[in-house]
This record gives sequence, C-alpha cells and structure tokens, in this order.
Amino acid sequence: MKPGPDPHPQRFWDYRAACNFVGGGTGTGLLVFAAVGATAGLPYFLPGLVGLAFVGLGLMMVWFEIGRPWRAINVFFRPQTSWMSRESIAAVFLFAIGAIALGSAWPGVRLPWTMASPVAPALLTALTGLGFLSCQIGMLHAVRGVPAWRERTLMPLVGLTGLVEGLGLYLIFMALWGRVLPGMLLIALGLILARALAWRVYRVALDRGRVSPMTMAALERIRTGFLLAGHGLPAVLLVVALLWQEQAGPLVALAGAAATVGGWLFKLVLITRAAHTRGVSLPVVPVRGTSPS
Amino acid sequence: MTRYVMVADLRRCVGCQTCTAACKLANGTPPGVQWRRVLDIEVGEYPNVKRVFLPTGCQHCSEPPCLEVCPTGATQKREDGIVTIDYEQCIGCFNCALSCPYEARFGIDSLEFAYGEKQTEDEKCNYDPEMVGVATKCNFCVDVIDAGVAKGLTPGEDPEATPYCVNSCIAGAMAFGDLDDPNSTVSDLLRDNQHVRLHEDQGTRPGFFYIWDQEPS
Repeated sequence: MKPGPDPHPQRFWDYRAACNFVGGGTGTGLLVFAAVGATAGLPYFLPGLVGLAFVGLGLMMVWFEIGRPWRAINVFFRPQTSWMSRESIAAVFLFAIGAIALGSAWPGVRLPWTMASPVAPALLTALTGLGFLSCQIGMLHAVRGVPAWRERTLMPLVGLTGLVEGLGLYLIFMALWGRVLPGMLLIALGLILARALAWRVYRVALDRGRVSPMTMAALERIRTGFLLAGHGLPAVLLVVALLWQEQAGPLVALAGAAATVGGWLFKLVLITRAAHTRGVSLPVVPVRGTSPS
Repeated sequence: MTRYVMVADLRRCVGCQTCTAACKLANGTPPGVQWRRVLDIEVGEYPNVKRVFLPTGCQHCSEPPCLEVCPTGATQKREDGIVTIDYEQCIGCFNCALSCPYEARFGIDSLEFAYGEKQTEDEKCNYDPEMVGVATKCNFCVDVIDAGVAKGLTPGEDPEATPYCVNSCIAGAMAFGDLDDPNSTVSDLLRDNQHVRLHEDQGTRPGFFYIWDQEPS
C-alpha cells in the first residue's frame, strides 16, 4: 500500500516481528519464574532451556524478516540511542548467562560457582531477561510513527503480558511435575488481574489520544476473547485450583495455557493489525493563489 | 554553521507532480517508491474545507526519530542538517521507517523496474542495487549539493547545487537553502510569510517548512 494522507496499516513489520515480541516476552517471563521456582527447589533446566529457546526463536524470526540478514552483526553498533541495539546486546548476555545457568542446573553437575548459591546463575539470567524485555518495550515506545505503539500506557501492558505468558508456561511445567506451589498461583492471579487493568488503562488512553478508528476496531475485535479467555477463564481456574489443591494440576495447566495464548494473540494483533500510521495532519487551512506573484 | 532546509509554498503548489517525476528520474527509485511526493489532501472542517497540494518527503529533522532508533549507525545527520542513510551499513530492519511520523522512508525486497524486467535508460544510469532490502529516503540530493559546494556554488541559489525537485518546480513553490544564512531565499521566505511544520508535537523540529495564507478577508 502506498503511503497516503490518512492513517493506514504499517507495512514494515509482519508476523515475524510479532513473533519476536511473543518469543521475547514468553521466554523472559519463563526465565524469571523458572528462577523463582528454583529458589523453592523446583527443577530449572527444562523451563530455563525452553525460555531461552523462545527468546532465540523470536530473534531468529526477526533475522528472517530483515532485508539484509547477512549484515545482522551491524545491529550492535548504536546502543547509545537504539533500543534494538540494546536488545541485541542484552540477548548476547542473556544467552551467555543462561548457558551458565543451564550448565549449573544440569542434573548431577556441581560447578564451582554454584557451591555458594545454586540458583544464583538462574536469578542472574532472570534479571538479564527482564533487561531484554525492557528493551523490547523501549523499541515499541520509540516508534513515533505508530501512535498505538508510542502510547506510554502500552509499556506496562507489554511488560505484564510477557510475565504472564512466561508464568503461564511455568504453570504448565508445575502441573506436569505435580508440584504446584500455591504462592505461584497467587502471583499468577495477581499478574493476570494486573494485565487486565493495564489493558483497560491502555484502551482508555488510546481513546483519549484519538488514534485511528481502525486501530481501535482491531483491538475491539479481540477484546472479548482476550479478556474472557486470557483473563477471566484463567483467573477462575486458578481460584478453583487454590481451593481444591488435590486436583489443581489440570486446572493450573489449562489456566496457564489460556493466559499465555491470550498474550500471544494480543501481541500478534498489536504488531500486525492495530498498528496504523499517524497520517498527515496539516494544522492550518491554506488557500492557493494568494501568494504575491 | 549551515542548516539546509526546504520550504514549500502551499499557495503556489498546483499538484502537478513534476517534482515527484524529477526526483524519480534523478534518483532512479523503483516503482512505488517516491522520495518526493505531492499529497492531494482535504484539510479543515466542514464547511471550511480546502483542497491542498502538500509536497512531502523526508523532513530532515533536527531531532530525527529515525536516527535515534537506527541500530546500525546507517542513518546519520550531517552537520548541515541533512539526514542520510548508508546503504552498505543498513540491515533493513525498518525500525526507522516505523519511527518516522512523516512516512518518508521506503523499502523494496527485490529489483523492480518501471516497465517490467527491462531497465529504462535513466534506470540504467541511476538505479542503485544497494537500495534493495534497505531503508531509503530523500537525501536532499546530497551529492548534487556537495558537488556544487565544492565548485563554490550556493545551494538553493545555483541550480547546479540545488535538489532536483526544487529546480523542476514549475510554480516556484519550492525553495531550498541555508536557514542559518539570513540572506538566503529560505530565510527571506520564512521571515516574510507565516509558516508551519508537520507533526511539530512530536518534537522532531523538521527542516521542511510550509508557507500558507488564510483566505483574504
């Protein structure tokens, strides 16, 4: 589509870019809660590996999208101002520290640095993951050509949805292990409610900011599904699981899956459908033919 | 100091797109890519509505949002205010294109010519294959400016040192020059006429000014 005066869908980032935000949010969220779980004695290796894989897959999808993939190394060159550069650098640290954390969590392995605190590398990976997620949030906020991304209230929403997606997957791991921590369920409940609130705040801010009606329509199309399936359903399931802990496993797994898929749907729509340009806005009404000849 | 800017007189522009054609010819841009284009828009609110021809393109902002997000350093701002792209450094992530509130950046995925696979004579001369897969945009014909300045010419005054779109304008609606020179054409125009810039709320401080007049009372 050729650019015109009216707002129109951005045409530069597609589902592959959306996958980066999905993978980055889910992966870092999972790394965070895998580290939290490790402090309570739950296994770290598998969720840690899956978390790093999500981040890696997301970055790989971006690599497929860029026009000159064999020059991708150049992405590191401007961390002074570019959140994309910072994201790339954070990714390098994340994979390096994450590899150490995985090595430390390998069954039967006792590496020197794990003697003092076996979960320290996992916690450091989680912190680096949060840094990576912050870079993704910064990338969206820096985009001045797409008002729906520039909106400040999107930042907590993207951050929270990343955490919820990661925790959703971690709930599935806990269900599979048969070791559901009630504290983790409470955290999940809190984060899901916080994400619903952040969504509401974002929608109100977009309304006030007079973004393109097409953006609002795209978000409106997923509103019911996102709120009911991504928030209402998992919240109810988590409450039931808290009250009926003997049968919590399947409920927790379903709640986690619903919360995670809800976040993925939101990000996919945010990047590919609810991303309209500013359009041209001439703040005056000029008249032709009035200039001195 | 030098700060090159462009001025478009909205009272004069007739929307003939000669500047668009001149730009395409000079820069060999592929189909669908218009570094300089003239939008035919409706402004105002009923009943005070007017049709306006709005020449637009890269605004060569003082605070370019494209520069801020570029992860590679391919986008640069020169000391004279011209924002450029190094095609050999750009990775084609198009973060810059999304960050530009003026939609001034373009990208193509493959070689395309105006008439299918066969290149026209000007495409043979001007088409740069390095433009494929990277972000491209108006650069104020920076090569022309630099060559002209090297010869001692004044951009905006001497056609040999002035962007093609300005040279080609049949209505005298476009002007180019040094805003920091109080005697330049652009300084005179902006001093004597009311003017406006696009999306000033974004804090980009564009180097593209629009002269306008209200209807005479």
